[in-house]
Amino acid sequence: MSSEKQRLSEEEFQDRVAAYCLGALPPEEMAEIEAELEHSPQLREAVAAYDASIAALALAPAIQTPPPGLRDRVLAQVGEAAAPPADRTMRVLPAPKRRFNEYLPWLAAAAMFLLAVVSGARAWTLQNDVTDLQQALSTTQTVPMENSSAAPNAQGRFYLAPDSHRGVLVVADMPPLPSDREYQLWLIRPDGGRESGGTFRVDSGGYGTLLVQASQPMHQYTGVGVTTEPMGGSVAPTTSRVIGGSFQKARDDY
Amino acid sequence: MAYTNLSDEELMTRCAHGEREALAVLYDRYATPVFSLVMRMLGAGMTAEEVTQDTFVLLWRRAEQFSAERGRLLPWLLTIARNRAIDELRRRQTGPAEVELVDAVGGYPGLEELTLQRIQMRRALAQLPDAQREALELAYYGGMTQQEVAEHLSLPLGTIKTRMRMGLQRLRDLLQETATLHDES
Repeated sequence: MSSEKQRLSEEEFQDRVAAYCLGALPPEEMAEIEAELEHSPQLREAVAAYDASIAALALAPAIQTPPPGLRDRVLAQVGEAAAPPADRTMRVLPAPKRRFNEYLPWLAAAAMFLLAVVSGARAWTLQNDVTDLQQALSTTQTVPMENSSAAPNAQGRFYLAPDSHRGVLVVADMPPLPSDREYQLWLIRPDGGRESGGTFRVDSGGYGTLLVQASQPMHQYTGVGVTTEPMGGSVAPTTSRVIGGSFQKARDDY
Repeated sequence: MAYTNLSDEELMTRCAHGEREALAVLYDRYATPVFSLVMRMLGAGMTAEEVTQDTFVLLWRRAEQFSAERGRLLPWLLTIARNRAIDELRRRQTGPAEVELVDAVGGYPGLEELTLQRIQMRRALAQLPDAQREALELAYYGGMTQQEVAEHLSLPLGTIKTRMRMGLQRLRDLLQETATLHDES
């Protein structure tokens, strides 16, 4: 006989079990029984004895057909939840601040993952993740960002696959911006011309990411730079570079 | 791959690996009983849809936690749905939806066995003494504790405890009788 049953009469014990099965006890008593279930075979047996009765209550309600759009909404929400883990985690990752370097290997993997799969060409599965990541790891080049007096503590990396049109910028400790301005990334052509790679903002830790889709393969550019621009971006840089990096220098260093 | 041929357990494993098609098949199998239970608890409206949606999203997110050794999927899923619906009831702090038990019996598409079980369950419930059924329904569908049921019905707590215990026991006996009759027929 369990300790539970020793304290209570058989009837009281059964009353309590019935109430538990119906979820009709206060939360603390529900938790007590949950704990007791772990080590009391008698209690588990008593609870199991009501399985069929509880199933009857669960399945007895009049049949209601779910509305047609609900299935799509469930799958859409799950699709968001199952977005590439790198993308999801990067958004919630606390601002790295001075520990940026500690995140580098992880950020690199995350960025490569984005490079590989963010275009969504393939259905997302774990196996596809692994395959894409392996492919990306073998081709991705890392370009360290050099800061300027405008952002003396800023750190960043630009990840690119030379033969692809995509790159990922990851920055930390960038200066905060007023609400009417944002950062803009520029791809630098060999003739010195600039092509916008998109705009981004940073969080309270100065942390931000940007996925870049270029018009040419990345090996056609010599580097990237980041400036502050009015919200929505500019057609050409209107301020001095905050951070930037040279693809050629990165290749030479490598 | 024919996901529709996979068992619940196999589909849950695939959900845990991020395969949305597996979730789609589980939705097709079980959305009707889940939605029916939630509608019974909350009544019609967007909230019932939202709770059903939450239930399947939670199923997806907790897919790794599911263990077939500890039980079948449907009861697990209905428990999630019921808990979510109770959260909503407590948020509203209103009573359960109008009690109803007898209606035209429909069918779960592709779930003939479940339909038969359900008919038997409804018959068994309908045979319970009214007082016992009321106590069970207020607790199970209304999300009330036994104390709250006692207050709701202005009856002593001991009476409600007894009705709940005897109601569940009687329901179990009725279901066993029905199953025995079915086996013998």
